[in-house]
Amino acid sequence: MDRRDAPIGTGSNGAKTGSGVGPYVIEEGKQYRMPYRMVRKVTFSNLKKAELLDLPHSARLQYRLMLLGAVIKAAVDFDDAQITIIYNPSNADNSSDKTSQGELVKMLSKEGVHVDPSSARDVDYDYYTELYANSHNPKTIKESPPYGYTADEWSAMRSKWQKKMTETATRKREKFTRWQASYLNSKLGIVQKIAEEHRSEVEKGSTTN
Amino acid sequence: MSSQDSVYAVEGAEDSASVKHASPIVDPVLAPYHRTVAEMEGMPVIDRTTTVCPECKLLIEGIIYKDGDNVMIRKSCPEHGLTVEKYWEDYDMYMKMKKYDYAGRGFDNPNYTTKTKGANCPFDCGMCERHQTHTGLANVVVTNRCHLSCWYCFFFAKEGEPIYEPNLDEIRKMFKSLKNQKPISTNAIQITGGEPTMHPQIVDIVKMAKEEGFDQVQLNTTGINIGLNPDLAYELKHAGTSTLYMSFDGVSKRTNPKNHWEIPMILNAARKSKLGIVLVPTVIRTMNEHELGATINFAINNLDVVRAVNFQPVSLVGRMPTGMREKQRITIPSAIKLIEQQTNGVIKKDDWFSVPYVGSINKFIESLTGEYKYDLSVHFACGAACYLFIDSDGRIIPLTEFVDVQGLFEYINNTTIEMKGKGRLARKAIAMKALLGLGKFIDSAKQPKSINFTELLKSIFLKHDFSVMGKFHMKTLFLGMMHFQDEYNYDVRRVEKCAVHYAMPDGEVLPFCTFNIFPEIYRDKIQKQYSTPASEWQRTHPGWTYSKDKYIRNPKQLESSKAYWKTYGNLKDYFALPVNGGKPVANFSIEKPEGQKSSGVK
Ligand code: SF4
Ligand code: SF4
Repeated sequence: MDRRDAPIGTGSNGAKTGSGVGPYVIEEGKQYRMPYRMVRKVTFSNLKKAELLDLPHSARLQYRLMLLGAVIKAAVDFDDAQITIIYNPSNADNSSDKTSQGELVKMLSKEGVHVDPSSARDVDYDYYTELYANSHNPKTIKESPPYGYTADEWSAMRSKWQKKMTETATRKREKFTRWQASYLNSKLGIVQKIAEEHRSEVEKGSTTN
Repeated sequence: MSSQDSVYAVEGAEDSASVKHASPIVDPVLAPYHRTVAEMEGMPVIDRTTTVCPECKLLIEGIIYKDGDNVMIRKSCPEHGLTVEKYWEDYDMYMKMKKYDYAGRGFDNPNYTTKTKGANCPFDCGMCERHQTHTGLANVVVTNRCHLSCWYCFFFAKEGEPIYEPNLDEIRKMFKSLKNQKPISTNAIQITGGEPTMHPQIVDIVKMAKEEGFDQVQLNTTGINIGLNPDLAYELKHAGTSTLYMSFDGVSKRTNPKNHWEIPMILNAARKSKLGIVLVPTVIRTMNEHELGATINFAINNLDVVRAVNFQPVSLVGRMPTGMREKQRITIPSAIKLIEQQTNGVIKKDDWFSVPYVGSINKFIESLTGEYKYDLSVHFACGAACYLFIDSDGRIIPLTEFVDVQGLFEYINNTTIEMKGKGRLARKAIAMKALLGLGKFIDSAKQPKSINFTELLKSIFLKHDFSVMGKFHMKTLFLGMMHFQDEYNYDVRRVEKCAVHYAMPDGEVLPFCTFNIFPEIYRDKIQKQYSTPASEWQRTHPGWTYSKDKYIRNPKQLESSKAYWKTYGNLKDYFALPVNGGKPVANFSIEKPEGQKSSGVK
């Protein structure tokens, strides 16, 4: 299903910042906790490299941004002198920590990085469809062939391998099901007896509330 | 219970610069911490890496250098000064293990793709393009509730804290994401907590893991709930649990306060239900490092149920007094050397190999068949392994005693290189020729009486499946060492090759050594987002309280049970057998009923 259309468990349909979104989404009848829906993504560009200092300090700044409860993700790109922050905005209707662009700007300035809020690009960001859905189902960006094979060799072999994998999975599943049946048969009689033996040991020696 | 059991959090003092100037320390174990700066700078540099300042997390250069027999790491933060830590307490072994390091393939579908490609590692997780090893073992946390409250643990939900306990659909989604990894998705999953058996649907979770195609399903547990409710052992086994990955810090009450008293019941339940157990001692110098040999002996005494012992030298997470850190620190080679001492040389330092060694076998099979096999490209300093055979007369035979492991792996590596670029038939011919040469690496006079190892190896190569080992019905014990990092010895080259990962509810996959080492931005942060606030939990679980989760033990009564005496009072010292040299294992101890003196250390 197109996750963009997934209904929100409690709250409204709109999934807009500040709307009455709840903590769950429903996908195909199943309920998933969803701490955020529409949040904000702000990008500060053209920063002064001298303020970012160098890559190690940029990485630490990213770490420090991530320490903030309201910051969901942060990326400090030293090479491009750019900071991107996904944050839970002050007007979001959820119970998680919140912040605002202004507070982030202040925090950055305390860290010695002075951004120009007027050139910031601060947009809605659908946490569910963009971050959550993508990281559960990330894009394939390359294809590594098995060791010793070229990409061309692999593309000729791939479909045969996939078929074999599917067959192996089915065989394994069947083998496991057969094992389960025999396990059950062999153990059924003694389960009761052993459980009683153990219970009496337990009663002698311990309690749980 | 959790994998992070080996990660100890210590709050309190904060000094990271441990270097004293010419302090009068004489203890040779502590001496490398107490050199002058000039002395350290005069020592040979082995490697340079990127590490973090334990105080402020600035990425700084880590200099790995040789100090006598020790490999040390030093780093200097412009704001917080110098930190010196042990990296690997055996130079020769470091150099030997290092030879087998190789880069794996990482992820074809990483969580995130950015222009910087992980430049800010270790702060660019979930899985990024830079990461070099696919998930080898996936941890999935199913609850943060626990029935114990270990003093060092910072993970279980304390009074008033939110409860992280994903529902079945959420857990299945994490399983599916793991199976969707490319090019290689993990076969092995560890269901962890908190105490995973506190999840009311733990059996269904195991079932689901099997349905989603995981071959190995481990439960990271104290075992206590299984010991107390043996029916659960049957249900878990039937559902598909392969092994209990169980905390076991030593053979005595003092070293193993967590589950010493319940171990007999747990072993019985596992034995009868046929659940395998991996004993997992967290090794801490000054606490339990004297019982490593005795722990192996305990495992051999219970070989019908214990499959492996996986020692985990402690990872000292959090700020702690320097003196305490120096005293408690132990690294893989030191634990290995202690095992050699404590077992009177039966299990020697040279019997261990680093995990990437084994990668050569997988590469060989992959090159031959064109089918993906696991990459074992973790950093060489992260793990070591040793395989023991216990012969019919009780003789303990490490694999290396009759197999030239190093020679064999090199031979296989060369064969793999020879196969490159060849057609299918030519590859097969090369492989067959190689198989005929395997015999020269095996000393059949020294191999266990019960096996023909050359035949076993051929079966592995021809059937491409390690499970054939099971068919030989040998008594074997796998010994592993796994050293998770901490902020003091942190090495980015290690974490970027980490194969032990955590699946997160937001879809990210995190390496163990970022998840647990920077919990404030990974583990705790993300799990808090997906937790149920205490008030909501209490509303939806009427009558539940934090204290009701807790297990209360009556040690005296447990000690009076038959099972207790059978387990601890009847141990045989395998190392004292004449075939093993006849000297008792260090700190071998057996319990005696009240009134009689116990032998050995308690
Ligand atoms: S409290 Fe529970 S989760 Fe924490 S270390 Fe102890 S057993 Fe493991
Ligand atoms: S640890 Fe791995 S996933 Fe995390 S930032 Fe480093 S390379 Fe990327």
